[in-house]
Amino acid sequence: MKKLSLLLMLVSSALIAQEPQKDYEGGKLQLGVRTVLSAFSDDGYKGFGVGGQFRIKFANRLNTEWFADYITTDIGGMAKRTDYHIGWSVQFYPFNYGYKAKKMIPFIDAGHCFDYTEVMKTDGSNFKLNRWSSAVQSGLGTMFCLTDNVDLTVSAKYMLHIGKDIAAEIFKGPNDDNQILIEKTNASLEGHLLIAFSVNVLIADLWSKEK
Amino acid sequence: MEQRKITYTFLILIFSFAAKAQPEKQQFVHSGILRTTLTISPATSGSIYLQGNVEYYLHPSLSVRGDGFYGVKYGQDFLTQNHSIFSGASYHFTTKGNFDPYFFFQPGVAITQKEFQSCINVYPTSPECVDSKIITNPLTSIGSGFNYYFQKWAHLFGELRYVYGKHIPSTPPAISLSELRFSFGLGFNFNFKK
Repeated sequence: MKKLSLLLMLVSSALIAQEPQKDYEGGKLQLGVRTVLSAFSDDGYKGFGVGGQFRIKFANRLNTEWFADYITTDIGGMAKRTDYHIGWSVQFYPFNYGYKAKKMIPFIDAGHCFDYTEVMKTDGSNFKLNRWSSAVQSGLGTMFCLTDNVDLTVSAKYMLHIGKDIAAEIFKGPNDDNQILIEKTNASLEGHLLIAFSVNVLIADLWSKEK
Repeated sequence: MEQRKITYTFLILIFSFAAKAQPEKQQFVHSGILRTTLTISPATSGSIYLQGNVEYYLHPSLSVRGDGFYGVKYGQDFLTQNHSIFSGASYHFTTKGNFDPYFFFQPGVAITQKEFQSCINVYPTSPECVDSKIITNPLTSIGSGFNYYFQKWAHLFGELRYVYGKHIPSTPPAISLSELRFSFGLGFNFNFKK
């Protein structure tokens, strides 16, 4: 693990050292909307959601993304899980970095978010449990610039929640009918993969000095 | 089957307009156009919506747009309300002339409500009933369409949109909101850049 971190640091510093001194990308502000899919969660059901983000670029190869998501999951027709995320990520561009039409800009992404989860039985009983927690996320993605100021982005991040989880488990009851157990579990490292498709528009240049 | 028919008809319509586009002309579309429409939009589920749209061209190939759908008739069983809003962007293909084909991606949300109170039997007492609540559901949509700018201030448009989503109420069943929506009509366009 240490070796890998050292290698990543070396690669990053080598790439940054290659950069021209003039920083002309910093200050670019993008606004976007996105569709998110949540997969490989502990309960095994896929979530689907909508969200938005803005990005503020601090350097040629360094961007920050500030996002919010609203995700719902149908748990076997017996419960509904609702997740709200609000968080931020740092994006590092190891290859291309300038917003130019027809350009692919792959990135490495890492960050943190706060989230609120509610799991409700959908049998009319109105029974629900909720929790606040925090998460860290990291992943890969790529932007595809349609024009100089609009891009489509696809990213996949693994989001690891820190704190108590709400588990929903469907099991066979005494009459062989499906029943569901919803309960808060002890602090655990529960995670899921978050795949996002977004469209982003460059809306302002806050402080950059274009070449 | 119905969805396929609509898709094929729509594609034929687009191609016939494309074939009619006059290659010697200059492209009409440019940055700074604001277009807006209001139309009736039927869907493959049997629903009918009143659709409003505002779109602004940032570039001849790119526009940002917002759409609203107000449900006036519901094809999905058990729904009494199904309204939705979307925001996103369209990519416009370069053409010569007034024809403007495009595709778009727009995430959104639906505001939906089930049709009746739902009751559960709590033995041995009498059934407990809960009111169906208005809930918001995430949606996503992709689609394609065309504009035909036949006049300085007005245009003809046609569009096909696939919407994906699910209404998950507090009582079963969950209701799929996925459908194809079709819209066609006249719109207005204004120039904000010379």
